[in-house]
Amino acid sequence: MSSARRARAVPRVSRRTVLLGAATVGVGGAVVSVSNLSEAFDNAQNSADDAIVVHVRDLKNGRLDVFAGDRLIEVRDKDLANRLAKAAKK
Amino acid sequence: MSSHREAPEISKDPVADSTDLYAFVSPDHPDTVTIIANYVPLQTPSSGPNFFEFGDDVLYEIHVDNNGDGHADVTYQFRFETKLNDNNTFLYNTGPIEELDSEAWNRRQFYSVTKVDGNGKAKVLARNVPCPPCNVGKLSIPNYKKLADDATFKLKSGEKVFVGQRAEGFFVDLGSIFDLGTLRPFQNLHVLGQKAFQEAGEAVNATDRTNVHSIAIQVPVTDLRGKSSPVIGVWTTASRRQVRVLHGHSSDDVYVGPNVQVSRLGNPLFNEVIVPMSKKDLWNSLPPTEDKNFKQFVEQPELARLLPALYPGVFDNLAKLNEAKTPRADLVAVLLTGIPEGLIEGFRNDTGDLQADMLRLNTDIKPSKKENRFGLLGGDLAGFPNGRRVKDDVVSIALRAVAGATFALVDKDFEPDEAVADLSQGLSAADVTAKFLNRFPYLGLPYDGFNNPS
Repeated sequence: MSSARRARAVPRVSRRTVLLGAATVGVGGAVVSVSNLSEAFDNAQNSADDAIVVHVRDLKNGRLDVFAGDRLIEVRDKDLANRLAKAAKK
Repeated sequence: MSSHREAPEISKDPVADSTDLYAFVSPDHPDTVTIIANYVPLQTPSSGPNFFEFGDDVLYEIHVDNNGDGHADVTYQFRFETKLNDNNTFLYNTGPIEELDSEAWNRRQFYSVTKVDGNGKAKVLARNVPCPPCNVGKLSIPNYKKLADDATFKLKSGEKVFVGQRAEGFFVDLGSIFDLGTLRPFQNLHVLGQKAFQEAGEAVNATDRTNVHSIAIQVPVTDLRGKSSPVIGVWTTASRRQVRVLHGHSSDDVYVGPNVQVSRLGNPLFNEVIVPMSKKDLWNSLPPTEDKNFKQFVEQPELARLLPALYPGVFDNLAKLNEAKTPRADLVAVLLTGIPEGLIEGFRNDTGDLQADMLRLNTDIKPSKKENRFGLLGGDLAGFPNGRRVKDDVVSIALRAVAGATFALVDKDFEPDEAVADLSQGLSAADVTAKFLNRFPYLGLPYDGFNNPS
């Protein structure tokens, strides 16, 4: 990397450039329960690039934990749980 | 240690391991409270080229309860981002670091500060705030003090912050204490030491010349206090995302889901010596509101039973107290509810009936002009367990309290053993090589890697 390019890569720091302004944001981390996966995705409000991780907690009862953003969505979807289990055996 | 590596799981996750928590009315700005939460324990200063840093994947929080319900009314959150300047070097720095934006400093860390109120409403107070570098050595960082000063910021919202490496201020003779409860000044009285030692020994500060990473914040006292009481309860937590998916390339790794608490610290030594090993990881995952479930370990502490067994004939009154199975209401007050009015003249720091491990600070108590390292037990109302200052000898205070010094406050007929007045680990703040500061952030400059170890 050239020194000129490196210089641009280094954020310049001074007391002025440190952002000390205020902005109000929501606090995440909530756990919600929904009845199917599509509702879970609606609930997660994720962009297409955000990761979604699904954990089949209880195959018999179709209980899934869907992790999206900073949220955990508890889903009951026997059909999906079975399809995931089938895929896992491939 | 105070809380360094105090539980099996967190001992394997040093980046998220809270080591010490301090909260005190700032002696040089008594209209403010200083809170310091230390993480990343036992840093050997010469640990290059990958020196120590906070976790970009860890949420660090300082919580303050000001109405006694065990829930945070004010929380400060700290999130980190690490930036690499040059992808083609293995070095932390390629030349002297003289400024916080020095070209030669390759791996830098920035943080944000968010304040959350009791209703969960969050406000970002600052973004892209730079940490100072680790203290590599004199050639790499000719003037560390200047860099550390430059990394101390006053926020528009009124708080002062410093986040970065500091000298370990906690002093403890770790090697002796965990060698079957030996206290070197009393080693020749120890049940096994009687044969091994002919005379008393001198204590060793096992944490001397190591560094930690500090999150220090100085807050106007009016921003922390509640409406009805001057007492605040403070604790710190570290949390990680519930799911982490590794792909072999860190840039592709996935961190997702709610934050899960993996470390907690209120009163020093609570999880370390009160909670049994089988429950320490659980305790770290819980909020203070669940601490009633640990009351039994406070009322009948294992350490109180060990002292008479380890030092035969020295703690006979304590042994009788143990045999009677009298619940230790004194320790419940000190650790779980705060000390109510009437036990110590002119003092209280109770927060109600809820049993919760919080570092309780009565903000009406003015800073002492001359500190006593034994804090409240030394007649110094501004010291631990009224909050905790950086020089308080919390190990000796805890030893004396557990040995019965504080039980006399709740039972006037109880006479502590004579040895309790002399009971000490044999160390003081003078055994910390780095000088403490008399101003924010109070902990000394970190030891440099060139000279430590030497």
